[in-house]
Amino acid sequence: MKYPYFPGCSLRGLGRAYEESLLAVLHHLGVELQELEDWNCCGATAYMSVDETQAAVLASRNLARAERAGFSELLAPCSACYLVLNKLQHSIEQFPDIQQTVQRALAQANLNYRGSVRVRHPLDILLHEIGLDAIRERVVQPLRGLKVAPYYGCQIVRPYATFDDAHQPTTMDQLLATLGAEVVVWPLKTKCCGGTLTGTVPEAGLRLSYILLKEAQRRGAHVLATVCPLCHFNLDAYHAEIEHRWGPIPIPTVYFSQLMGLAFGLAPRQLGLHRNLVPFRFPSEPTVACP
Amino acid sequence: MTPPQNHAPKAHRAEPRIGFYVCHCGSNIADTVDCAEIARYAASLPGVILARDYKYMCSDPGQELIQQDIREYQLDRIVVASCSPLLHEHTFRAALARAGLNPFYLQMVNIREHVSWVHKNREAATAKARDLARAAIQRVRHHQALQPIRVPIRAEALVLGGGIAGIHAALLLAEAGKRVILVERQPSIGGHMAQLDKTFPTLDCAACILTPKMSAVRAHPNITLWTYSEVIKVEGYVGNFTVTVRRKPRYINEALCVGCKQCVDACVFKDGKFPDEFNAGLSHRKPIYLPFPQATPQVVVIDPDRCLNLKTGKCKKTCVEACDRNAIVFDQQPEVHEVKVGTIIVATGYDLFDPTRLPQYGYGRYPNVFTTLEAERLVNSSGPTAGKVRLRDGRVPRSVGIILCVGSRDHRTHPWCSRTCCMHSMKLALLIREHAGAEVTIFHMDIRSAGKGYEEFYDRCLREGIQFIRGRVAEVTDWAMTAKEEGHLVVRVEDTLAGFVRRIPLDMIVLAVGMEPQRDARELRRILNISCSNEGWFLERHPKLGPVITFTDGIFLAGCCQGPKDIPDTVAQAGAAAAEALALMDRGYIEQEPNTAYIDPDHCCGCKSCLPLCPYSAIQLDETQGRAFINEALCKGCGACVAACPSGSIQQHLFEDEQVFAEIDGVLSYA
Amino acid sequence: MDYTPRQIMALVRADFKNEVLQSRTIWLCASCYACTVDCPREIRITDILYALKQRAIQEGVYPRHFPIPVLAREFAAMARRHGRITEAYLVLKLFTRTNWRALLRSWRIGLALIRTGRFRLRPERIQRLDELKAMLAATASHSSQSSFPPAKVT
Ligand SMILES: Cc1cc2nc3c(=O)[nH]c(=O)nc-3n(C[C@H](O)[C@H](O)[C@H](O)COP(=O)(O)OP(=O)(O)OC[C@H]3O[C@@H](n4cnc5c(N)ncnc54)[C@H](O)[C@@H]3O)c2cc1C
Ligand code: SF4
Repeated sequence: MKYPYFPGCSLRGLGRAYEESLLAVLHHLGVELQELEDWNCCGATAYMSVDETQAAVLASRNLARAERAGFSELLAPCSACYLVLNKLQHSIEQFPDIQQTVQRALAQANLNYRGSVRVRHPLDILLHEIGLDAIRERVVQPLRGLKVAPYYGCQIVRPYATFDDAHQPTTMDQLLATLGAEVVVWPLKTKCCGGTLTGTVPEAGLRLSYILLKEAQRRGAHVLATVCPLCHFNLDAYHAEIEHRWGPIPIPTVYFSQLMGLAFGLAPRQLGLHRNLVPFRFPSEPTVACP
Repeated sequence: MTPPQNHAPKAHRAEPRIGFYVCHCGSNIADTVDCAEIARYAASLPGVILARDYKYMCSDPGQELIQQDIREYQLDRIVVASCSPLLHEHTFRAALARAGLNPFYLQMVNIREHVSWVHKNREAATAKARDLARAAIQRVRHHQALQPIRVPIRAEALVLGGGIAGIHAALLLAEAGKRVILVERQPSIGGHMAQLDKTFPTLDCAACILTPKMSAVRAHPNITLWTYSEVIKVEGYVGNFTVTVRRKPRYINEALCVGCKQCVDACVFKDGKFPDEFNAGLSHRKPIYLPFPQATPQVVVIDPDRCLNLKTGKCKKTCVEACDRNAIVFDQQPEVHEVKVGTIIVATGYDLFDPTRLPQYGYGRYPNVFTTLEAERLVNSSGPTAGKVRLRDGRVPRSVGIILCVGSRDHRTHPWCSRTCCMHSMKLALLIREHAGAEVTIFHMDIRSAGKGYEEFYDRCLREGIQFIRGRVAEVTDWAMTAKEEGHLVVRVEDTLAGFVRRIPLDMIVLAVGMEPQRDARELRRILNISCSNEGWFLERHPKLGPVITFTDGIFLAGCCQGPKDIPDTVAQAGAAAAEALALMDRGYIEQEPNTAYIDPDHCCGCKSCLPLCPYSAIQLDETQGRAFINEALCKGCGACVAACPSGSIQQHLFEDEQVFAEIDGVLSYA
Repeated sequence: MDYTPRQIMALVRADFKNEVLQSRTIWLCASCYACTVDCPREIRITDILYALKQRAIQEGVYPRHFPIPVLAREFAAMARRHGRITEAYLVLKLFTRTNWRALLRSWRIGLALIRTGRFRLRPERIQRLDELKAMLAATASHSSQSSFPPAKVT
């Protein structure tokens, strides 16, 4: 299997470990990714605040290039990219004036977009194309005893619940359970991590990240599994700042793909685990009385 | 059946004497159409003896004018140019009849809805009115004397659904001496009201006021009660419906069972194991059970999906031994009955919104989130906890929150207001506080307490210390942020009066789930051939003036199947439906517009092309003569056969070819 | 947050333009879309807030030293200029424009990110920049009519 792939800026920067681990586990599952040639920034949420039309045009270049390359799908692992590209697809379908603006702009670059590219998320591919059975077969070191709080964040399930439920998503839960981990049931799966507010308005942003860590800790989680480079950045890079403000919360945050890699027996370095600021370690073996 | 008058050979006609009247309708018509000019113009047309304009033709003096003229000038055709015939055709026809003229010698011209209300230019409007008047005048010459068709009406009624609406309607009809068949899908009648504890605003006990009515239904000699039954087919028309009812087997001989419950005690299941529908799943019952203590009829029922013997054939059948009346019949089969009735009252009630559709409220995920119906059972002294309000783990709640508009007033689910939940939630607030001593908070967008004594009931709740927080709840969660919240459910809500977001820890949450149409409403609608709104509520003929009659003559609506309402409104509507049905049945017949089709026997060649076209199966072939004929009582005047007849031998009263052509000529012949 | 989102909607409807455009609330939206999926009246609140933010930038009335609009503008500028975002530079820009002290406070994080290879210092850019520039040039910047119908503010 080979999937067209849109990395997005974050996976080349703050989210490097996400790309490293995702490529490694997909490769392990026999799936290769083909990077979209000369892709550009999706615009994320920031561009939409400045100029929505330009934001749409910016993002559309990627879909048009994908279509020209003959791709019918595009894998977008970063939550912001996933949402922006999806949203563009929706807007083009729903609002003729957006479609016209986009087409006019594309024409300047001798491009054209017929709207045939389906934007997909790795969780969607893993569960619905590759399948849990194939994944289970690859598990050599089940994550037994590891309590993981699955954290989906916002933009992969909202406002378009394309492959999972907007309020109670379960795809990552199923995946983690397949890896042998103990999935922590907690109510903040899809709450906001603070987004860029952690940097801009720390009083507001950091609090949201803190709430997530705090509740995960209260539920006995050892680690938070995330799907988004920004969530990971907030929960990992600002961890020290959060502890400084609210006291110790010894919970690392890793990408779900890193946990997959560990269960597949891949080397932590290959999965970019050394890039975490809050180091991830397996909890010491639980002391269970022998029967 | 066909009244000979309507088939009388067309007598040679003398030149008709036409009277023409144009109405000002106050200023409704006169502002846009020059009425005097129309009258002047009409008077100039051949056959018109006189033409008048008048301020209100429908008024008594207006009608009197027509009557006088008919007598004085021997008029034999009348044209009235005014409003829609829907409104006043019967008025003017009656005026003709009073003057001794056959009422069908009338033709109306709609110069209000079709002219003055839709046009602005006075000149053009007047010209259009002139054309329409000319068409009517040419048409009316060809009118014939007709007799309205009389159809007899059977004096039996079928009531569908045994909630309070169906019960009330059935009792009224029975009291008036009509025979009633009451068909209820569940093993007992009573509907939702039977599950309620007390009822707002007077807080009288639901069972106390409902049970006597249920027993009255059972005992009434004029009522045949068929529970555990469903209507599967309805044929025929007003006055003569043939209804097919399927009676599901309850595996009990209803005539023998007295509801002693010896069998229930003897069942091999020592304890109840299956969710008890009547207690909204809060308790468990056995495979053989009596739905609830006051169930009517007092006859047990066996659940075939749970009974070991019915499922596997392997059971000691201790119930059979226990029944000394030999009432248990394991090989009972479904029965299908056909009944003939004159009228049908539909009272199939409502269903409740499924709160798992709004996962943010945690129903099904957090054990201590309940629905209002569950809360009714909890506060009820014959309920699963004998009236003690308890959390699922048996603790007494200290604080309870009731969330309103769950699945109502929400464009993602149901846009309508369910109308009773504000009130019954306030009722439950008082009852929960009384039974558990708990602090109760109601979360609302606004309190809708329109109704006699309802706002006063709200005042009472305020006075008695029920807390009200205005704001639509965002979520119910077990995410605790403080020690105080630990172990509680937390309601997150923007308090719109205080102006900020609050987190309120509570022990128990009750969701005021809204009403929605019964799941099978669309299916039933098709069986009954009535209409329902997009959402699935059955449609009344007119929201103000015909609130209980449907578009299908002889079928009436009562209660929540037509839309959300409380018990007082339900009972009022049931009474109205019974009265409408009675009015029909007591008259014994109905008069129908004689717009039926008829076949000229001399021309019909018996080709049968019309037979399959008739939606009402009113056409039959007379095999001996090789000609088709139309049963006037079945014909609805749709005209399908008239248009299709290859030999042109089908005509339709009121729409004869010559009438229609004359009208077309009239419109097109520019003066 | 100076107004709740519900209050913002009410202020928009009541034509309190300045209050809305100068509010911090519209900038505090992190675009998590929680409100959009839960609104019982199906108001696309996130999208409306986007439209309000654009309007505030267009009219130059956004809170000047508030970092969020500054970040948004710098982000857009970088995307336009290079076709991609290099996070390290974006953060640097943001802090120099708004709050030197925050930069000083965050040096530890910065160093750690450089150490772990997550702050890349080589600027990223696409190859066919002229292509992107032509596309954006063809799009009237700050088009007066917003592309999302419900986002109407007068
Ligand atoms: C929690 C709660 C509390 C309430 N409290 C109050 C209160 O205090 N005061 C008040 O005035 N109102 C109250 N109400 C409203 C009240 O329940 C309704 O107004 C009333 O029950 C409507 O009666 P109904 O006969 O129209 O419908 P239902 O009670 O729903 O009865 C309909 C009957 O028709 C049967 N049926 C349905 N489909 C078919 C079919 N196809 N064939 C045969 N039978 C069928 C059903 O089995 C049922 O028995 C409350 C409602 C709820 C949910
Ligand atoms: S009655 Fe009250 S609770 Fe029920 S839908 Fe209407 S407003 Fe909401």
